[in-house]
Amino acid sequence: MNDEMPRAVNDDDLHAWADGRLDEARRAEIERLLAHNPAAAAEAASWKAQNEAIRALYAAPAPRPDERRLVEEMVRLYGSRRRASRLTAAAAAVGLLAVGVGAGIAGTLAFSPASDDGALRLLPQAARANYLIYTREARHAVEVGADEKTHLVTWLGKRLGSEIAAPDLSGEGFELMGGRLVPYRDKPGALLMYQNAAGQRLTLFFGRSDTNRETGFRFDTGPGTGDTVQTFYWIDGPVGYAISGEIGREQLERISELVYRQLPAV
Amino acid sequence: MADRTDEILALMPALRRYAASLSRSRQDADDLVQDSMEAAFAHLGDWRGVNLRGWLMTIVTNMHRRRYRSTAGRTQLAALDEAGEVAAPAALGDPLERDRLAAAIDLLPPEQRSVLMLVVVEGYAYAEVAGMLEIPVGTVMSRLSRARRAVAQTMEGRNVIGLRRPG
Repeated sequence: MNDEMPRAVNDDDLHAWADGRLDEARRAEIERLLAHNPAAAAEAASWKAQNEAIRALYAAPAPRPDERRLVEEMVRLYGSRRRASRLTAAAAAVGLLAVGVGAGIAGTLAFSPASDDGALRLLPQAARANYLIYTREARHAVEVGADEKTHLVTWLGKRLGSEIAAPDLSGEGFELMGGRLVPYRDKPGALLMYQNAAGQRLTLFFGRSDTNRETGFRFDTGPGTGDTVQTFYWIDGPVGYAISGEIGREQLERISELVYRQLPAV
Repeated sequence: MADRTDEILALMPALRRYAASLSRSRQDADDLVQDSMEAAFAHLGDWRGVNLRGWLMTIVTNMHRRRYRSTAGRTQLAALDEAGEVAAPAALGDPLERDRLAAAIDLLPPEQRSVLMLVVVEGYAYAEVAGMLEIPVGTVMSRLSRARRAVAQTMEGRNVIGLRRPG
């Protein structure tokens, strides 16, 4: 860094001075040295001023009225050993901070690197790619049409190795078009496609990762600016689910809730 | 577990402040707190019972890094746009300086940002930060130094501001 600074004052000293992390003796020593080194003194002073500006920017927020409810809800949620009730409670807790559907059960994602087999990273990517590829198809968007719905879900469920359902999204104006078998991490995955009266399409992607032990719920806005494809995804034990569309976050969120409620428990 | 409710509740303002200092928006901060609290409760059994505040701060830090990774491309571009708009107005009032500072901080990579905030806003000693993030003190110092310089450079307008100068 600054060439004109004497060896006795190093970069760390300047930071420690600005942060008030020096003991009395060292502080006096550094200040003596700074008196002979205007450049270093200016830098240290600028760090101190920056500190003050940053602290002013992030004042402690006032306690929020919903906070006790949130914490109590979590204690209740995670105090219970029954997973099913935990998921239900998590869904119910969603409104507490108005963070959107299912953020509630995302937490377990953060701390089990041992069980993270990449499922979380790959799922939204795969869902997105499938969405982009197949919803652009005019005539061959699906392999099996909605007219064979029973066959479709039985077949895909069998290949996936997990029972699936084709959720009813008519409440949001989307009807099932059909589905197809797709690859996911060297294994069969499943893709269902929906369309509304305006011709907008959605996909519901199913992928299996048998080694996954995590449960989580995420929202993915895609990799770039101007990217309109958004994906909600969650993982429930060995099966990951992802809903992709270009219909805006709010509606996608409502649809994710609809889907979540209608899928069979794994 | 229930007896920890009050303990955690008392730490919430600090957690919110730290989350806000890592986030680009109020919404992001709320999401970060919610996700972190979920993680904390899901792993309360792993907590060694020493320093609850430090443990929760670490969870927020890790969660922030994880969240950031998935949105880095989008947010960096957004930050450039914001920086460009900052350059135009002639009158430099206090609110504008605050916005510029916030925009400069938003450009920091998550590793640098969390170190800067733990030191400056949360008031942790360097060794404490090193312990919380499980990195050497030397790494804390170099991240702190890089963060401060980057913020200062952006504030001086030597970094991204010129990219969008009209004309």
